[in-house]
Amino acid sequence: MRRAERTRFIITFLSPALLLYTVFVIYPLGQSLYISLFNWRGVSKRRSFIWLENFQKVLHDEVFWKSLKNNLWILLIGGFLVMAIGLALAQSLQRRTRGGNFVQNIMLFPQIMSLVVVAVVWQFVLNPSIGLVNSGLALLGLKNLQHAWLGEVTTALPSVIGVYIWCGVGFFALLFSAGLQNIDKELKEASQLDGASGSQQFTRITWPLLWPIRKVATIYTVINGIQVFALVYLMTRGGPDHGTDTLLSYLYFHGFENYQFGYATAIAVLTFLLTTFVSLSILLIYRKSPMESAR
Amino acid sequence: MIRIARPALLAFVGILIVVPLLWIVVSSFKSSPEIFSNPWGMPRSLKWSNYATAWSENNLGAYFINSFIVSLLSLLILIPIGAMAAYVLTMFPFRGSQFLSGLFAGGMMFPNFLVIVPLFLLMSKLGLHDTKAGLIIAYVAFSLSFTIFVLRGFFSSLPRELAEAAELDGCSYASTFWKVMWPISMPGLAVVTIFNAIGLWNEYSLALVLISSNTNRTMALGIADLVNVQQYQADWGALCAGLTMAMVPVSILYWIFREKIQSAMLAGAIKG
Repeated sequence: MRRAERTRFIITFLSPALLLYTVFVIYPLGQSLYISLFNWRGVSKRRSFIWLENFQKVLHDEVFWKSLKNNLWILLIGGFLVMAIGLALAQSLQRRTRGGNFVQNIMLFPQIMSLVVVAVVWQFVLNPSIGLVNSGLALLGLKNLQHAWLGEVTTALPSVIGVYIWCGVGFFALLFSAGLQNIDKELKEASQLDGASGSQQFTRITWPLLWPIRKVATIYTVINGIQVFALVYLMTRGGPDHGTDTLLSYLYFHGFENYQFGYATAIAVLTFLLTTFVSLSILLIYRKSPMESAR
Repeated sequence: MIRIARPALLAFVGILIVVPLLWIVVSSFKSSPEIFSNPWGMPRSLKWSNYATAWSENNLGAYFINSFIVSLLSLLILIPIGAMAAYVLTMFPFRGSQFLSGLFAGGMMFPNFLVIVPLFLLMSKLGLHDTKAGLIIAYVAFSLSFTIFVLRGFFSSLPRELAEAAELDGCSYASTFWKVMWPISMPGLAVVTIFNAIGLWNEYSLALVLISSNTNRTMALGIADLVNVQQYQADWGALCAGLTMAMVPVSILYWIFREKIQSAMLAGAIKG
């Protein structure tokens, strides 16, 4: 009796969430594979089955590779700097000071702001005529360093990466702070008594013990680095000359400006495969804790 | 060296975060010519009319209300059904429950935007494209992964004995959940609610594709559009007022609940 009730309860409680998730998340994900095999233009019903031709075209599309490269720059340079600054910031926050508390309180603001706000704020800051950066450079007498930051091929991507870092540092500092707090204080004090220098303490104790946090941070870096869309789309529309396009902004361009659904979905499928591959590799690299092997 | 480096880094980061955001708020009280002639300084007088312009002439008032409705209704659906699923998945193990937990959690591993084309086609087919209902459904579906994940962590920390006692007293499983477990879960539910509220209020990418008409626009879409319009009209003061209006609700929520939000972010990250 109770068993039947239990089963009924499980089904009623799970089904709303499972239904929505299956219909609107899993099903579209599976359907991607199917749509990517069609030459499908516009909202019309006209479409023709073309096997893997979309993939073939995407793989020969220079802009696709350029977008992938931009993604990798954001992921590697942006991701590295976010982690490095985040870790340094977390270290600085270890000692409780009034300034530290203030920074701790506000450091997540960029993350919780809408990307629309972030994009517009930085468009202002980087604006060639009224922006803070260029007027600051003028004040310092460095007019020759002024740029149309988001409009020039050489400065657009680095500017976007800068804003990406601005958004992300707070979260990584939070993550590393939690990790640092978990490290045994006695361990550090003991090493100090043994005459370990600050840098030795960091490389021998802090860094290895941060292993679980580093694993999480790396996974986040990859996922965040691949899913950049709104920031780029809002700040530069992927320009100039696709110089800041990412995989997802290029997908949007084909899907909703050119209305080539098949082609756009092929980009999505490739991006999905890439994400899966990279995530699995990270899990494999971080499979075994270094502490376990040392013991 | 380190003694100087530490405060210097803190000051640098603090300034870098505060100045751009504060600049928008200050500029929202200036007229456009004043923003150009005096971008750094304080406003000569507070031009509150920028807010009136943004709210009514630029239609942000309507978008503000749309965002409010969409976020609120999404939360009212998301939180109960997410909690129900998380509760079953933690407290009632059955064959396949591990798999389902993994299926939900897997949604956090890939960008939502990857399914945007099929989602758009599906919504069009169902007649839900460019409707608030369609946007709400998408928001709920795409927020389930994180919500269920965090709540699973929360429910597994609750005393199982409490539920068992209620069940022995003759409560059905469902009434045990609603009358005993739901009330004591309020702290955890509050955290995921606030966290989702901020995310949904800010959401842009899904709305960009799923909403097209003016009447259904959310705040994020409205502001992004305003930027395009204002580049020709160049009423920068009103634009800054609009941005401030978008920032304020989130900032207040964040400031009140900052410690809880930080712990939710960590819970979502570290247990993974």
